[in-house]
Amino acid sequence: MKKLALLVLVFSLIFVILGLGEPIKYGGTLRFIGGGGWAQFPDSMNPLLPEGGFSPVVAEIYEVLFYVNPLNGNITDLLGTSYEWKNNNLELDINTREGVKWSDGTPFTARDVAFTFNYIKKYPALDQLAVWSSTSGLESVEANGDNIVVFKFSKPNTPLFYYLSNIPIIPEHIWSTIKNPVTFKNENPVGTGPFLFKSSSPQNNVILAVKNPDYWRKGRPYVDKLEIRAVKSNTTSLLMLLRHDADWGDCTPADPKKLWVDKDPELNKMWWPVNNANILYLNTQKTPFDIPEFRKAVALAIDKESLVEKAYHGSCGGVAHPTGIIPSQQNEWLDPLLKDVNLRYSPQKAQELLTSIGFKKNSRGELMDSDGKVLPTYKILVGAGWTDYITMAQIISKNLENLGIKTVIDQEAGSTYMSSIMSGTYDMAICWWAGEGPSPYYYYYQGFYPPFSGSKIGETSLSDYARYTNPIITAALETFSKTSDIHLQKQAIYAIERIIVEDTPLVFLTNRTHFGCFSEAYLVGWPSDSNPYCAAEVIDSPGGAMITVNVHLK
Amino acid sequence: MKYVLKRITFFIVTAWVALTINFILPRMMPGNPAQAMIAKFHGRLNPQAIHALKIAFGIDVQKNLLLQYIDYIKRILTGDFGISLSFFPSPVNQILSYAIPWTLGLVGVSTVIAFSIGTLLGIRTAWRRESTSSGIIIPIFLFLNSMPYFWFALLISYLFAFKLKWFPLVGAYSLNIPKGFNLARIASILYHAILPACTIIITATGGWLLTMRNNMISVLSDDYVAFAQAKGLPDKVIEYKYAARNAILPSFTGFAMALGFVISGALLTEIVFSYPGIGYILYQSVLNLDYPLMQAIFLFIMIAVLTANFIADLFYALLDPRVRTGAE
Repeated sequence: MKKLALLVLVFSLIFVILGLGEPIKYGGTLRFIGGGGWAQFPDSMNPLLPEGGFSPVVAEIYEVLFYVNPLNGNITDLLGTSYEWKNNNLELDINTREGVKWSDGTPFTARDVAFTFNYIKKYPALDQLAVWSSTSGLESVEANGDNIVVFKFSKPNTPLFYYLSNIPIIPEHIWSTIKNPVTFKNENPVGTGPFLFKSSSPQNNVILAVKNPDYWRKGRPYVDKLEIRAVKSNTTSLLMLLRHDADWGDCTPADPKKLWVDKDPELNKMWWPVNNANILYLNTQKTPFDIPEFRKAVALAIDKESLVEKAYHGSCGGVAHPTGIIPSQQNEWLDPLLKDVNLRYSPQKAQELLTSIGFKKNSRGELMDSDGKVLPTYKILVGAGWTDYITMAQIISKNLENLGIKTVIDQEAGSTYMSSIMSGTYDMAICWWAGEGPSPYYYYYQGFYPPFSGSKIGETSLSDYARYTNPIITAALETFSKTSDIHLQKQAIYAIERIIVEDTPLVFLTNRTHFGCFSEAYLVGWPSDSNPYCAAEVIDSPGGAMITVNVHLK
Repeated sequence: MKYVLKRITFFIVTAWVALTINFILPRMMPGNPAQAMIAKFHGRLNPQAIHALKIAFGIDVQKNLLLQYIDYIKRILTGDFGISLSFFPSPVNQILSYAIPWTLGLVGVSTVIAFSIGTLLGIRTAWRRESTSSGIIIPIFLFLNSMPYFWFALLISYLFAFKLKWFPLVGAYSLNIPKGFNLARIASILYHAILPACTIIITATGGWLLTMRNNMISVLSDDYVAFAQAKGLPDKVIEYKYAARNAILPSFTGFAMALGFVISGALLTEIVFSYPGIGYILYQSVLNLDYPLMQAIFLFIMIAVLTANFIADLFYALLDPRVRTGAE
């Protein structure tokens, strides 16, 4: 990382000397447009509520300690400047930035950081990332002087750093007097971030913010104003982008290349980096989904290329890797021996596998189990009206019919869908990885860690939707969390990957992405494959805030 | 008087039944608001947040259904609907106060306009049944009335807001206007309302037109109309005072119902034009199992519909003596 930074510095110096570097233009307004799920902004500016539970401008007002890029793990220092694991990883020391002021003029210190963490301990309703949960091992957070915060653990848990660094820091001198912080709406937010709240119009769903003139990062942000707007349909947000009424949209047109980029390839940019995967969950607490060979046969029988084309017009980042590791993390975390593993569409291989465990077709082409009983009709659960999932379910249903497995598509409203998945009453369901993060650990941890799994059908499974656990995976996850040595961590992840490839606990379908649509009509400096300074997250998250300090006038 | 008392008893009993159904139905839906939140964000929300959300929403402790019911009735009587879950932590009353004026303004006014135009055209086209103009008007309005609203609204918005840029694409008023009550703001509000209102009026008018025309035609064939004509009364008097006055009664009931339903908003209009209103909020609250908000909106819809019907019933008694006396 340091080498790279040095290199960048050297190159930029060279450019400046050669006079090639144009001075960056200041001013202008960054206009964000959200559609679909964003339709109505919450008017609370309490940063400790979950993302989406607060007004999106909160992410530009309150800062976190470090921005950890979930694509590649690169760290941008914000309120924290450096960190160090000590005492066999039982202590984490974070140095906080000097010379930072809250927007009311009070100096920011490490005590504000300690206060924030102890505050969410006191009010569990605010502990959205569960940093104080019984599994986290976090014991105490204290300030040591003005610039050091000390986190103490009862057991090592190095991956928690990602969650700790992602919590917005609030000023002690204001929040210490708030009586009920959970319903506190924080109408006059005081933060350290690059923008200050100006006004909002709930009727029009627009929020305005202006540049913080005393922002600690000198010369940033480049733009003067921020206009965040949400409309109630994706079509409208796309029209607004096309009309240059917005510069940045989180919108998901069915075919973004054709409907957005191709309309004006010079100006209309999109960057949809893969951050997750679409998974066909098979309920491993029901037969025959508890048989690994059966699950693998299902995986082989599904034409994943066709899912990518038909459900996403090719813009979802392609077929997911059979280990579920997202492309940007494969270089670092994928076992080289597993690089070429591929569960390519092969109904014939699937058939052979089924035969090997005694499953045969009867004369009417229906699949029978090893006792000669015809398999019942299974339901494929998807969210009601989620067109991409419904298309995938239709293709999967056809594919499975070739094996003699009958399925019907079960569309349920969001809450019912989630409740069936979590309580394990479903047969098959299309859903995503429950966890995300800068390394595969976060995906696997949420996906397979026993405390997040339900021991029997009906019992809530917090994030292990397949209800699959494996002692080797559990041990590997624990090894990973105990160490800060990346080589040991890699070995642990490799071990998990091998189990996943052998045992097929999940059937990976296609990749999932963030949806950044950027217009270069007025502003440039958007994140891209060549400049992935964030993951094209939405404006209400620390990653989105990175974009607001990086874009500038053409 | 007996008639009025009967109506009032009916009003109260219906209200109680509706209130109770309003309480029971949402609770029969599986899942809880915290899970709905996870589904809504399609994986963006950390599943660990469920614990915290449950505590925040107050659904971590299971309350007895009877206690919840008593609580619910109490809230309704005091008019305090609690805190919304899908727009946490905004009070329900505040969310409604943002949305209701827009809905009343847009949908209410459009409904009145559509009813007036439709009824007038209905009278005219029935009176001049044979003319070419009614031969043209009826198929056009029939076509507009049966067109899928969503598609029509999208088309209008695409043509007039996106392509021609005559009208704004989204919102209820322009942002560049000083706050407060002033002429520029009113102009801006009207300007923004034109497209959404037009789509409602254009698609709804046909329905009123047809009802009115049919009633009118059957009334025109009555003996007393023929008698009035024989008596030599002017056409205008027969058309409006004799025929239309009697023909409007069934339309009037429909109009009262429509006014009652105004409060439920116009979901599709709000979505296409990103216009503020109750429709979308109701939709969100149902999707997210936001009981407090959902119940408040249903309560308002129920009260509005029942009240509109009640008033229509009373009016009916005034307009039509047969209703009053119970005679056939």
